[in-house]
Amino acid sequence: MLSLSLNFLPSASVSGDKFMLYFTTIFIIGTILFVGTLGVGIYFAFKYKRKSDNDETPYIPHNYLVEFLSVFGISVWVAIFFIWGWRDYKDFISPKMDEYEINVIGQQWNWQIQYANGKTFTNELIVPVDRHIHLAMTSKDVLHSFFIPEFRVKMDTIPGQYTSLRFTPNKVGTYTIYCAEYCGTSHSKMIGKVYVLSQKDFQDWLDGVYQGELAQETKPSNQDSGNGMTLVEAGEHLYRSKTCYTCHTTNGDTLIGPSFKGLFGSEVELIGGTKILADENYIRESLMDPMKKVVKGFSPTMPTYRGMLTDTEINQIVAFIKAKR
Amino acid sequence: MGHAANINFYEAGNKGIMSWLITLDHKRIGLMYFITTMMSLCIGGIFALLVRLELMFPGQQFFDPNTYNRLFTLHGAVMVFWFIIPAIPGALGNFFLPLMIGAKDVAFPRLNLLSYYLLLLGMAINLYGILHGPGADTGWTFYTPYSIKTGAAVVSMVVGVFFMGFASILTGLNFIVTVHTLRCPGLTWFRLPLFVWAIYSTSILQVLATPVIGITLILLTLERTLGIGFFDPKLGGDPVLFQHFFWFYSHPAVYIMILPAMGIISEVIPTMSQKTIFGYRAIAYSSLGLGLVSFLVWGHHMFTSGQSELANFVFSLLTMATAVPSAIKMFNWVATMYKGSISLATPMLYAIGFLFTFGIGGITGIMLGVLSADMHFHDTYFVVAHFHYVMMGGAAIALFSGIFYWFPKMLGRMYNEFLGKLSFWFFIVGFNVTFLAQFVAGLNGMPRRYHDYDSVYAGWNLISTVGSWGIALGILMIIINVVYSSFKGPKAPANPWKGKTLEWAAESPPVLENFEKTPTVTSGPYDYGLKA
Repeated sequence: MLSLSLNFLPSASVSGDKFMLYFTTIFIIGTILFVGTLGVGIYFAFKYKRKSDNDETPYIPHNYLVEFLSVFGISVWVAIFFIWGWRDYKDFISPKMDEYEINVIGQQWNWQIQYANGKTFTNELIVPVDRHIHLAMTSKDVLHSFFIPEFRVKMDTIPGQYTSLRFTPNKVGTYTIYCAEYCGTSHSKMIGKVYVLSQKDFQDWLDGVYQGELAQETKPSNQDSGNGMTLVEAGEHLYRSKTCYTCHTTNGDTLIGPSFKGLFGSEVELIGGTKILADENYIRESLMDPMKKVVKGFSPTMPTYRGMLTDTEINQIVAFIKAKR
Repeated sequence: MGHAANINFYEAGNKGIMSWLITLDHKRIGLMYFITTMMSLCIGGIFALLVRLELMFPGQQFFDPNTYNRLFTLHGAVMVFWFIIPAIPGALGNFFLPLMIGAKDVAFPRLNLLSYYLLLLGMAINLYGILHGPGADTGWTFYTPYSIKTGAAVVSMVVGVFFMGFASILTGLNFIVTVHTLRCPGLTWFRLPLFVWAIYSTSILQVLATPVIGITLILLTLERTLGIGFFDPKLGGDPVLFQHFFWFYSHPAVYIMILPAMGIISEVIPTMSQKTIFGYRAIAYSSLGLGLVSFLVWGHHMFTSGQSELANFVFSLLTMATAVPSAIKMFNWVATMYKGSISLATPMLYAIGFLFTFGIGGITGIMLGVLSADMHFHDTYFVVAHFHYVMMGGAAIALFSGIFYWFPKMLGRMYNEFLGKLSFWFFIVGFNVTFLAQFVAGLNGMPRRYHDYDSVYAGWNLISTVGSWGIALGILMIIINVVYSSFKGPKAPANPWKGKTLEWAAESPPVLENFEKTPTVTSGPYDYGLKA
């Protein structure tokens, strides 16, 4: 049976609820404005339909009062919706206290979802209800866009850099992940699932004792590169094997490069005086393009790691540096 | 009729196919653009019907994903670059701009012919890639790095678009100079018909914005052929930079499509209502204003691309500001009809249809300009439906209105009124069924460019496909009407609509250099009605 319901997509996040309220309001007011304007036009078309070829018409080139009022009315209407939309958007993108962080890597044509404990799943995202979730996302090949319709949020994933998607699920259930940015042959098959669990079930799931239906569906994929290590442990392993420690300490001492202690989330001053926030993208850029943003007081001697680290390994190093903040 | 100077431009001078192919007459060039762009509409329309056919039911119907991806790419590229951008300025602009300003021709007739052949050259290069190569599967937006990695014929597409861009630049340049230098005595700036204002604003956009896409597509070609890293992060480039460059042109391009359409509506409504236009200066200035702001809103195509918060704030604010001049125009058109003597002949039906569909396109545009809502709507069918309401329900409908309005002048014969009205009803019903259904699918989260979709969207997709057949029948009737009436229609008088702009002072069809003696203008373009 074909469904012809107008609004069949449930809302399952804080953003989703805000969207529904916003859309309902703008839809009703937009409809009134549209029907009002067009209704008058169609009424005129009937009322002033040509009666003879010699109809006399008045000469009305303008009416400043009507023109001013319509411009003023439209401007107020637009301004209100702009401000409302900006406030909701600001709330959507801003980092929250106590976020649960998960890494996402998009690739043709699936999603790799990587947890702090080192487990990686394909196309399956498990999150606790009523927690702020932060997805730190990137792409292995072309552009993708991580879209959860029930949450009314999406963000592109871009090769070579991180983007962030934030949401707060507020209903336990199973929802959809779509790829919204065209990415080639199987774009429409790049579909995943979000499982929103109660906070207790989520903890059980993390501890490996969750007995619900989802447990069978979320088998770790073959590309589980964590080897049983958490992201931070794997990052520490890389810190040693790639000999990062010869230049960067973790205890605050300064060697050839800045120490990792307290680095993440701090404001660093670059040569030339610009100040920037040390976030995921800054760390990625410093690994790939170390000469681009050199911290003041250090000489530009770091070699590039472009092509030597996978996206997963970069995620692990970022997690390690984050842990030292 | 009778004496030599009175012979219309079809009969005057040389005859035969060569007299058309190497003509410098703006009217003949305009008609060649007309035939070319209407053929493009048919080609793009066939791709559209095939896309809708594949989406009629969930699952694979007729085409595998790779074929489907090529079909929607070609639908978009053909409709944008072959049809909507050249159609109104190239066909109606060429034919009527000189007539409406009382000139004998455009300022640079040879350049005008060159523009036409550059368009053909671009189309030929595209066709080569489509017919002899693997086709293109990037979408008409050519987003990197996909367009660098795919095995499809991207280079022939973008090089073709590069040449069509030059055609557009040269046409714009030609019209700007024409409006500045060739206005007849007494035709001051504020006596210009609003169609001329609209074409003038469009021309400025064409000249300023089109070089950017030309350069961008050359960079893309260099990256694909020589591996120079502009956009691919593996080579040290930035994929989002491409989007900035692309939309820096392609957003103004939206106004290259819609401003001339608004110009047509501003002609048709006053004449068919026998009322002077309400708020002449407001409409003229809002054309220029929209043209200017259109350069500053490209980032609203990139709200989810990870661009900075500040960029999103500014782009969203400016985008929503464009609602104001657009709404002014809507109100002015409706107010023009007040106490008029309104003829509901085919051109006016299409003009009222324009108010309806463009109104929906505008209001959904505001919804999309809102940052929080766009986080959901971006890259869903809501966007697809919105831009079809603006492009098809705005630009194309106005083109149809203009075709019927000026048909007697162009061909010297009347079109068939019954078939014209019938085409309108098929088109408008089919159009709204097709794209209102897509709004619902998009609101409920169906992403665009999908070869297959979840069965929850099945009902609305089926409706949309059925609606597309109504559009096809409507356009087919327009073409039959135009072709049949060109040969068999009754002879048209010089001024069937009792219009007051200068093109109606010329014969139908006009003589070779438009007017037997250069006209002099003493009043505004829409002096209908009794002055109190």
